[in-house]
Amino acid sequence: MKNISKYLFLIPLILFALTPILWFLGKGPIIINGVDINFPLDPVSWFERRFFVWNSIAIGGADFSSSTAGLFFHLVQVIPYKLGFNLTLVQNISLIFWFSLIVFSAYVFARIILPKKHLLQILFVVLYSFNIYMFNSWENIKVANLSLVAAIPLALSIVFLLHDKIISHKRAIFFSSLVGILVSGSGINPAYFISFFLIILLFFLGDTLAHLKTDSIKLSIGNLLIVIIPIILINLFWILPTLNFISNNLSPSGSIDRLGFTNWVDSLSENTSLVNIFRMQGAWDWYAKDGITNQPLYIPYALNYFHSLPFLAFSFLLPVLAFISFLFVNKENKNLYAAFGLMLIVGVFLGVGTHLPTGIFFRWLIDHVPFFTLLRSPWYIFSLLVTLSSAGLICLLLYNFRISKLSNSLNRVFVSLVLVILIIGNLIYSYPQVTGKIFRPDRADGFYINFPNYVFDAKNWLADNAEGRIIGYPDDEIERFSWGYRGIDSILNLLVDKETLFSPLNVPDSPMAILIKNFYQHLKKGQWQATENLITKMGATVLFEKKDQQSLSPPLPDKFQGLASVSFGPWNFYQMQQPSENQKINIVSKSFFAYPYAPYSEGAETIGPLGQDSIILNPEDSVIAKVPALTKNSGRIILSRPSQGLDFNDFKLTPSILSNRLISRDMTQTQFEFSAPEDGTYQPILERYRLEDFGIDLSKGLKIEIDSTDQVWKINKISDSYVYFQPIEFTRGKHIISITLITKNLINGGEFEDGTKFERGGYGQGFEEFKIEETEGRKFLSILNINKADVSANFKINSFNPMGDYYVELKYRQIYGNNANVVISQNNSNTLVRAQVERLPNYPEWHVFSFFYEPVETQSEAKVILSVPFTVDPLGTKILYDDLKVYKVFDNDLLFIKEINSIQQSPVVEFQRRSPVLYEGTVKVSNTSHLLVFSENYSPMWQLQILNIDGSKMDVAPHHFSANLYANAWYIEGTPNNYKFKIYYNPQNLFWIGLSISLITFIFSTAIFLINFGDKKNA
Amino acid sequence: MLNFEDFIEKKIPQLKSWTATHYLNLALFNLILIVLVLLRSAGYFDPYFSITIHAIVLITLILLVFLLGVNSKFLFVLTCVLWIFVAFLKLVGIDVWAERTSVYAFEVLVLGVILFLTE
Repeated sequence: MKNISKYLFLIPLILFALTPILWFLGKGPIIINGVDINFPLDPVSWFERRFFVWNSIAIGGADFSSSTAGLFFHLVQVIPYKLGFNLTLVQNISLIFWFSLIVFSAYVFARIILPKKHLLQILFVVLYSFNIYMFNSWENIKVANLSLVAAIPLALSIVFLLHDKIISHKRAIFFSSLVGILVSGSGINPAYFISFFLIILLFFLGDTLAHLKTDSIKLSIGNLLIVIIPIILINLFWILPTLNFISNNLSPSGSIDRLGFTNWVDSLSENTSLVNIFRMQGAWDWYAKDGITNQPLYIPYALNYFHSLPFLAFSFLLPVLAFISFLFVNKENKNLYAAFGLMLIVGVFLGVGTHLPTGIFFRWLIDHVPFFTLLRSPWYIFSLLVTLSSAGLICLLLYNFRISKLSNSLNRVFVSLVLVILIIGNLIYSYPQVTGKIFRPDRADGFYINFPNYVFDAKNWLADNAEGRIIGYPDDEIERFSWGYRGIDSILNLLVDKETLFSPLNVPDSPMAILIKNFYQHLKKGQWQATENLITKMGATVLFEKKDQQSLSPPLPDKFQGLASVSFGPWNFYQMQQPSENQKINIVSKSFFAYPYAPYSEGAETIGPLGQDSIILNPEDSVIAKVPALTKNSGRIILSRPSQGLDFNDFKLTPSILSNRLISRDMTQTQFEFSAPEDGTYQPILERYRLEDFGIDLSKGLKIEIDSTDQVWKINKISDSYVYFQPIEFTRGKHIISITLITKNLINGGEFEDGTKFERGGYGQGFEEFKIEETEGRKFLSILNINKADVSANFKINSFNPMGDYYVELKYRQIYGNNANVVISQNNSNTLVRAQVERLPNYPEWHVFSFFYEPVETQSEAKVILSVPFTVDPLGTKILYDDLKVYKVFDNDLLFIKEINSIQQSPVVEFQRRSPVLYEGTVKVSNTSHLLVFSENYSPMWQLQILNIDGSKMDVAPHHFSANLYANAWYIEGTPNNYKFKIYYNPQNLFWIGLSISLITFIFSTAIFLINFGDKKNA
Repeated sequence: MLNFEDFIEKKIPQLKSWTATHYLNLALFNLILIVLVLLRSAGYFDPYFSITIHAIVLITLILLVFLLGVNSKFLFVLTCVLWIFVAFLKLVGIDVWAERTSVYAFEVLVLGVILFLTE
């Protein structure tokens, strides 16, 4: 009985470890999934992906070096999955594994620093494992955070045990290897791995400063190395390729931005004030509130922490206990105080990020320390220092009271009572983590997902079908399904190992993302030819329609009804092209220099009119410049944007100013300015989309004025996307082409000459008066508003097309009262989609006011609201309006193509994808100089090896450069007509080298541990 | 129970003795503070360096250590006092002051930890 009672304290620890069971209790066959969680519905394929440093699954592929660090994390999911457990159970086991590990790790550390005091040990475990920082780690099941949190106390324990000579070096090496495996997941975001070493280093510093003796320092350094070296060696499998990627792709300053990722350090630091960081309340999503109701947008329980008195009090209590701890320092533990003190101040400083005033120093570090921008989520990366140090300091304070010589039995009871109150109090304080409220049950944006059966049916079908890339539709950056799942990647990535294309939230400016955006634009406009040409370049063969996705995007064009398709519930897979017509590796017959190639948004526009066997190249590419034959044999394609479209873009990108609004624009003409790179014959191509809206009658050709000379361009052919004119001669240099447009005012009765043709709008009680007045033969609308909340004249925009942009112009005169407002209101059948409000400046004379409107691309209607707003002045507001006009903006591009003879006829390429990093195949060509295109995102690390048909190496050095904005292309000269090739992503070798070292380290450390297992000296 | 007056009576000789030994430092401490406040009110060094109240508080904290010889315990007590004041300000909804005071609390804590490491 006595023996049993000795272990009673373990019961709460076991219960803590089983917390994830509470999260699933009574929820049915759900999976916690969505947004950043990404729990795979096929854990095996996710595990297998971790063996390769290139991931070809999403958006044309990306370097995956750091993600290989998730190998162990996914192994924990694969084992129960392979044992036949269902996905809910697999996830539950995985979560319990990590929760138990954190509890165990914290307990091991607590046993060392707080010996023989079980209640204190439990308090440390509770403070370390249940806190607001962990809310976020669990809410997104962040591999990096969980690995770090689980590994840190164990690593510190080994340092301690070594220091006190409780374990031998051999055991320490073995335990460190195990810690290395646990912490490997933090490599997914290497900043967390850095955080791991920062904590160890601060601990070492604190320990060293507390015992400043040379011998002791030497010993401590030795012990530190015994812990650190095996951890690094075990992690070399991801460290080597990741370092290679960083050194080759990132610049020391502005690293994140140059990688195409959003640097959100400032927005994440908006609420990381010192007062919040000390209380662990620095997560940005806590502070996102609805502008009208002031309720939290994402974290419903945050309100308790902001306003509830007990929660507020507890949030201040923990830091104050940590501070008080320094007033009762036990000299025996001075090293711990020093270490925790350092951790606390460094953790708080770094966690605050760029929030002022300490943010000045953080900003300095960003500007001056190489690669510091990689730490773009400071609070999330460094808050563990605050958690660990606070927990440590609070427990040391109570430990000192417990072991104090002055301590009598009454005091001991009192301290025990305080401990129990703190343990229970902290569990109540952390109730979202205990109960699973962090996953927002019962909310539309919750993470408890019951996947419909058709998802799994589609998964089974996809496993053996749908070759080539799959592009999703609708095109929202966040997928929101009617059954609750939300994701920022394609849902297909959870299911199968198929390559997918979608609107990426994280890398919206990458070349492939731009092409995808361009594809969606053409698709919505029904421009089939451009769409087909684009998908060929993007390697997409299947379109994945998700009718259960909540979206404003318009339905697919009718053309899709004629395509072969397979359906699973509301999911349809349309075969847009045959895989044989659209291979990932092929030889193209035509290449064109695109002007401009960058910015990519403009370069992408040059792809639409080009045939499927053509590619675009960058004329500024330094590698291409070294290949005169390629320059000679490539055509030219030039994009020219219409002046109206450019004006619209300029307006859109300029912060709101009056100078571009107090003017009248001529919408009856548009100009194209372009520069021909060389003399020659160019074929003009005009975008076809709704030219008739601008009075362009193609039956008579196109009347234009070129460099002040009138011409008529004759039509060669017309497709659904472009009008091809007969080629004409251009000299090298700048040219200006003008087209006269017959633009129609889309507003009826905006000049008020024929009475009122508008709807009366507004609301509220009071007096309103609408009058058509006349002065000097000119009629205009006069609106008076006395005390009404709003009064307006509403005009419907006729033939409103959400795929076009609009120009609005009017004249107004403010007689008295409040400023005039003009609103464009776009509505679909259910709701307001967008409203653009323009506040007109206070001006008592007639003046013109104009602006542009960019609609949301959804089936909808729009109206212009000439508003006369409320004023407290009893005389009210009186405003005169006249000459309201709304025109469509002419935004069709004009392109010029200079053709060349094709350099290759009927090439045959056959290949096999051996892995995400290796492709092997054979080529049959008629011309020994040719262009081989590999439609995977460009990286100089992709290497093409040319082999003889017998497999022996050939002495051919291909020129490697980018094509089609994102892809890899090689210009190869001097090959035989038949040859073999191998395309390999070189950094994979580093992974294999690293993995070998990792395995050898683990085997070696395990071997010496086992050999010395029975050795008492080693115990 | 110790009477408060007795306690003060007992402490006064200690205070006098401390004042006598730190007389010059105390004078210097006050003088520097006065000069800083005067310089601030006259706008000296603006716009190159602004002598803000924050800067004066920070200099005061550092002077506390070097001129008046306060130890880390004093600084940790001050941290606690400031932090409790932060809590009070937060509870009554004066968030701006709470944030300002938490900055002082952090500065005192940093000084306290540094001093603690050197003691």
